[in-house]
Amino acid sequence: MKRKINIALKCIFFTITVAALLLASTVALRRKDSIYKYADFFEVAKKDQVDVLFLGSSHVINAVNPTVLYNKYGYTSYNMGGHGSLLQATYWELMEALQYTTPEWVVVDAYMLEKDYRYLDDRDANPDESEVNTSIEQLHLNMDVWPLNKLKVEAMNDLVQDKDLKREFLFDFIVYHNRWEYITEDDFKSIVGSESRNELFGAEMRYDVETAPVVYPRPEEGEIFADETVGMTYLTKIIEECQDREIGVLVTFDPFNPEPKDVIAANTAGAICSAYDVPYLNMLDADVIDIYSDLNDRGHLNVTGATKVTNIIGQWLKDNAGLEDHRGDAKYAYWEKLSNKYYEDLREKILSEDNLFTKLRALSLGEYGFVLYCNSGSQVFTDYPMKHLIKEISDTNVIMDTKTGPYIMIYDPGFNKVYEASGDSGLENVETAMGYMYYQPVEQNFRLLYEEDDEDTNYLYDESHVSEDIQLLIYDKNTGEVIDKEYYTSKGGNYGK
Amino acid sequence: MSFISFAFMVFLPVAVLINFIVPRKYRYIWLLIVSLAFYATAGIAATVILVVSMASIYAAGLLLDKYKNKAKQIFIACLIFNLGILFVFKYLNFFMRILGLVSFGAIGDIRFNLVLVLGLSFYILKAVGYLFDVYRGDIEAERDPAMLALFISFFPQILAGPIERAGNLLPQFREPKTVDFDRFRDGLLQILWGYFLKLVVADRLAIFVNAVFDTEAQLDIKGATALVAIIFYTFEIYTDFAGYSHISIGVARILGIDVMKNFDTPYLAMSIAEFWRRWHISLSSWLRDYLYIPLGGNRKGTLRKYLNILIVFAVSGLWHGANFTFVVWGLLHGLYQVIGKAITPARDKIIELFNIGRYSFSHKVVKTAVTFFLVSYAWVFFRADSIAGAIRVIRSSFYFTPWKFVDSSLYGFGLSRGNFLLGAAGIVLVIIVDLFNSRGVVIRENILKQGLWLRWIIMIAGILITVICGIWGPGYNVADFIYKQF
Repeated sequence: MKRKINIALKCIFFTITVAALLLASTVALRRKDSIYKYADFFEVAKKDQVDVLFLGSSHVINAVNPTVLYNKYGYTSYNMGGHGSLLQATYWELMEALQYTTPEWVVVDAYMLEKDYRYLDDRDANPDESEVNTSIEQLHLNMDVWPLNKLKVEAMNDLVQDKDLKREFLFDFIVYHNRWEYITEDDFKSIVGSESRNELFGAEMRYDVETAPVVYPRPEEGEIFADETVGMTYLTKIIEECQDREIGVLVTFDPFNPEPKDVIAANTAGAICSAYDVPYLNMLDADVIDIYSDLNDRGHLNVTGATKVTNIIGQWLKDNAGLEDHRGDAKYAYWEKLSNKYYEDLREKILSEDNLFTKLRALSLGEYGFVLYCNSGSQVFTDYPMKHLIKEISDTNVIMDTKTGPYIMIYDPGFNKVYEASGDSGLENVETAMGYMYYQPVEQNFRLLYEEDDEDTNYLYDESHVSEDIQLLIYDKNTGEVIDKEYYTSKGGNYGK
Repeated sequence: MSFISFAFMVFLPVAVLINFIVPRKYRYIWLLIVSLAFYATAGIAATVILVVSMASIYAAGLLLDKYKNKAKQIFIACLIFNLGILFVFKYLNFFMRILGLVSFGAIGDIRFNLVLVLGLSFYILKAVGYLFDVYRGDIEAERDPAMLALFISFFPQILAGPIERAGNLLPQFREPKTVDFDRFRDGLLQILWGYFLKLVVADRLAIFVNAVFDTEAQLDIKGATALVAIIFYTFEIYTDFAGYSHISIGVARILGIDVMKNFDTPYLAMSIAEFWRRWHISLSSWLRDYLYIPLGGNRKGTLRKYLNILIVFAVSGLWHGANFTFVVWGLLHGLYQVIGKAITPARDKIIELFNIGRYSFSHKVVKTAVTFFLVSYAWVFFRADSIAGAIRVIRSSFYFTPWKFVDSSLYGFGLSRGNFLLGAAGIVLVIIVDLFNSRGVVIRENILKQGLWLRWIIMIAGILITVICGIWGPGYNVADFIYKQF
C-alpha cells in the first residue's frame, strides 16, 4: 500500500512538473506582439484608469496616440486597434476588453465597413488570398493575449470557421512551439511578467512621408451601401453593446487617402450613426490632414497625421464627453511618465533621423526650433513634394513662389512663429528662442545668420560645407541652444547628407 | 487515427486506463473493441475489408483443422482470397499501368478510384502468416473469433506493424502480463523515444529531403546538397519507421503485451545480409519464413538460391509500394547480396593477400561504411518519384562541391541553420544510441536504473524537446509515418 501511495505521489509530482514546465514554455515561446501591445492595458484596467477605448484596424493604431491625448487633454485611453482587424474582430476585441474595464467612452473606427464575409478564413467569400492571410495572422495580435475562457471560445467560433485554425487560436502553443530558434531575453522575461511593452498604450507611430499618393475620384455625394454588410452588422453590434452598458460611443472614420468604396463606407457609417443617434466624426471629409505630407503610406497616417487626429478627437471629447482631466493627479503618474517618454523618444528620433522629408515633418510637431536654409539653385525649388512639405510647415506660399532661391525658414515653436525669406530679401530682428536674429544673403556661397548680440557667430557658413545646398540647424525651443547642424545636398532628389 | 494526432493523445490514455481496470480474462475483448474503434477512423469501407479478411482467415483456420485432407485447397483458396484483396486495393492500378506499357498503349491508362485501405499490407501479411502456421501445423487454429480478430487488428500494430506472429501474440492475449509501474514506465519511455525520433529527427530531416527531391530537376541541385539529402533520407526513413515501431511496441507494452523487436542497429551492419537481419526484422523474418524457405531457400543449389534471394527482394520491394522504384530498390538489395555472395572467394583472397585482420576495428569500420553507402544509395530509389529522378540525384551527389558544407547554402532547403543543426544532432544521437545498443546496453533500462532526479531530468527534457522542437502544427506539412502508406 505504501509503495502504491509512493508511486501515485511520484506520478502526480512528475505530471505537475511537466505541466508547469510546458506552461512556462508556452509563455516563453509565444509570439510577443500581443502581450507587447496589451501588457499595459491589463495594468491600467486593473486600476480602472481607462476613460476611452479606441477600437478599429491599423488605421486606428497609427491614428490615435494616447500619450498625446493625455498630454494635451489629460484623458486616459487605450488604443485597441488591430492590424487588418475587420469589424467582427473589433467587436470581439471590445468584448474581451470589457471583461477587464468599463470605459466612459468607446471610439470605434468604421474602416472596412464594406467587408461582407462572415468568417475571416472564408476563402470562398473573400478570394483575396493575402487579405485573408493577413486577417488571420494579425488576429493573433488581437487574440493571443486573452486567456482561454468561454468568451474566447465564443469569439473564435464567431470569427473562424476552420476547426484546426480555431484550435490554433485557443491553444496558440500549436503555432508558436517552433519559435525555439528565435527566442530572446525578452521571451524569458515574459515568464515573470517583465517583458518589454508598448509604451504608447497600444498605439504605433510611423514616421515616413508618402509624398505622391494616388488620388482617387470621389463617388456621388452622400452615396451609401444598398445592402447591409457583415461589417455594418458588427458596427451596430458594437454600438448596441455600448448602449446596453451605458458606455458613450463615438464612431469615427479616420482620415487617409480613400478609394471610392471608403468614401461610401464613411457615408454609410454616418447613416448608421444617425439611425442609432450616436455621434460621428467623419474625418475623410473634414480637411483634417494633408494627404501629401501626413501619410506614412496610402492608408496609414504618420506621426503628424496621428497628432492631428488625436487632437481632433481630444477636442471632441473635451467638448462633448464630460471626461475628467487627470493631469497632475499623482494616481496617474504612470500616464505622465509614458507621455513624457513619448516626447523624449520623439526628440531623439528627430535628431537621429537621416531622411530629410521625415525629419522636417517630425520637426513640424514643434519639439525643436529649426532653421532651414536652401541655397540658390538648389533642386528643392523644382521638387514639388519638398516644396509642398515646406509650405505645409510654414503655412504660407513663400516657398512656392521661390524660383531659384535662396530660401530660409525659421520655425520657432517657443514663440509660435515662422519666419521666411527668399531671394535677395533678408530677415531683421526676428524674435526666436536663440535671440533676435538677422539674416542676410550675400553671395552664392556666403550668407549671414547671426544673433543681435553675437554678430561674429554666423550660423549659416562653414567652409567645409560649401558644396551642400541645404542646411538644417536645430535648436532648443526654450533656451535657443543649438543642438544639431546638418548639411544636405538636393542633387538627384535624394537629400543625402 | 495516427499516432501523431490529438485524437490519439486522448484515445491512448482511455484505452490504457480501462485496460488496467478490466479483469485480465476479458482484456482481449476490450482490446478488440478499442482496436476496431481505432481502425474504424480509417473509414467504414476499410473496416469492412478488414472484417472480411479476418472472417476469411478465421473460417479457413477452422476448416483447416476440420478437413485435413483438403487442407491444401483450403489454404490456397484463403491465401488467394487475401492476396487478392491486397492485389485489388494496392496493386490493381499499378498492374493496369504495366498492362498499358507492355501493350504499347493498346490498353489505355485505366485507373480505378479504389478505397485506401490503411495498414492493408501489414495485416494481410499477419493474417497470411497465421494461415501458414495453421496449415503447417505449427499452431492450432484459434477457436475464439474475437481472439483472432484482435490478433489481426491489434491497434498498436495494424497500421505499420511490427508484423507479429500468432504464436507470440495469441498466448499473450489469453494471458496478458501484469502492467506494473516498471512496465508502465518502461513502455512510456519507449513511446517517448519513438515520438522523439519521429517528430524531432525524422520530420525535420524530411523537410530538407523533400525540398531537394522535389526540386532537384528544376533547380539542378548538385554535389553536397544531393549528398546530404541522401544521407538525411537514410536517417529519415530509419528514425521515421523505428520511431513508429518504438511507439507501437511501447503502447503494446503498457497494454500488457510484448511485441517483437523491429530494428536492431541496422546501420551498423557489416553486410547487406546482416542489414536485413537488423532492418524491419518482422518483415524480413516473415519473408524468410513464409516465402524464401517455401521457395526452397538455399537447399536447391547456388543458382536457385540466388534466384530465390532476388525473388524475395523483388517481392519485398513490391510490398513496399506499387511502383517500379520500389521494385528496383528491392532488386538492388537482392543484387547486392547475390554479388556479395558470388565474390566472397575473391574478397577472401584479397583479405588473405593483404593480410587484413578480419576482426580488426578498421576492417569492421570499412565494412560498415561500405554497407551504409550501398544502403543509402539504394534508398534513393525508395524515395524518388521515378527511376530517372533517382539516377539524377545519385549522379548529382558525386559532383565535387565541398564548399557547400561551409558556405550556408545547405540552409536554403526548408531548414534554417538551427533546424539543420538540430537535425544533424538528432542523427548523431541516434548513432550514439545505436552504438550503445550494439554493445548490449539498452539506454532506456539504464535511465530507469538512475536516481530519481536524473531520471526525471532526462524524461522531462525528452518531453520538452519533443514537444517544443518536434515538427508539428501549422507551417509544417506534418507527415504521417512513411511506412503507414505501405
